[in-house]
Amino acid sequence: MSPLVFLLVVLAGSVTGVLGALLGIGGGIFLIPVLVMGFGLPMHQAVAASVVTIIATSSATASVYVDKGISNIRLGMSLEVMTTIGAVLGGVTANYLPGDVLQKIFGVFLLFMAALMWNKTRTRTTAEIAFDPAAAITGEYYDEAERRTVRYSVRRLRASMLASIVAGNLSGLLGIGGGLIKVPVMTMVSGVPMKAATATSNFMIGVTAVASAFIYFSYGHLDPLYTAAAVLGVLGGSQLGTRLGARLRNRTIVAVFVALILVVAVRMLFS
Amino acid sequence: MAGIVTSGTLMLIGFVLYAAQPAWYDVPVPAATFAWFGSLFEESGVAALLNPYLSLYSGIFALMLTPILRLVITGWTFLVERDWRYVIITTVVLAVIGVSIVFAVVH
Repeated sequence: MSPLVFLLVVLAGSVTGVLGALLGIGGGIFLIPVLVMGFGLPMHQAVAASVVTIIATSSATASVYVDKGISNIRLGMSLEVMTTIGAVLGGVTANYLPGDVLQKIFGVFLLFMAALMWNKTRTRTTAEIAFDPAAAITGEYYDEAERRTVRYSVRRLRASMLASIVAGNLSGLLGIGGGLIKVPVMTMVSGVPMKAATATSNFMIGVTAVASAFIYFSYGHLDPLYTAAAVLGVLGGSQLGTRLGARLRNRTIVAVFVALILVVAVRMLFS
Repeated sequence: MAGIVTSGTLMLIGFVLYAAQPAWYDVPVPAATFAWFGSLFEESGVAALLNPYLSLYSGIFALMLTPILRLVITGWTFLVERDWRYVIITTVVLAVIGVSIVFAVVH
């Protein structure tokens, strides 16, 4: 790797971090296509690098949400049992699949994500928030924007756990954070407020990613140069994205991003 | 955050060492096996410390340890609270990650 390539990978990581912070998603959706199509990295190595950047994103943001009491640790741990199992299975499966097959699965997933993200900007995604003190898992946090304490109870935990195994599996298979699946499941199925769901997802994605990271490492897919450069970029980019987030209109960003991933999906499917 | 700072610093040191020694540009990337780590210190400690891949891999592993440490602290908190249900759940999650680590070591 030349210094120029290093700087370009850091730049790609930075853009990933900015988008991740702006859109509340893991960076894999952007980073993997850039590493594969832009730098010619084999698909498995790109997924491995992405998995490690997810750990970085999670570690950088999770502590803030945990300190503020927004993350629901008990809910996160309950779902994590299933996501880590899914991630390990996904990681092992990915390593048995040829790179071009994995690339096509990723392309199909991008199309699905584009539709999901577009739909998210147009429809209400949170179920009615209710509080039942007798529920197995409850939570509360202080909402600074609304200046009130939000109390809620978690409903249909088993259904969310079942969906979590899919999120974990996709995370291990494709090197994505899985937040785009976990957050809607927590809000729509279990009635968790959006802020708590996002914070809990941030706490979870790093744990899920580390389960599959060791699998990719064991198959020799972890390239330290590309991975470390991407991580450094993501760490810087996520800080910038957090500051930019307050100034930009979310819907505009999503529209541009959806158009971008549609183009990338087509290229991943037919290249 | 301590994990992030430690891993980020190690990765940066790795890249500085890499950029400062252009001879490494043409060397194939070594796989981080136990044998490779052991061989690093066979020549001399200084040579091992100047090897950029040692810093880069150390940074990546430090980062991978961060969520595991978070889990251990979470489990400890549940233990202090005597919330046995979540002590067990956290232990199961740690065990699943343990399986993937064992897989990595054995594979």
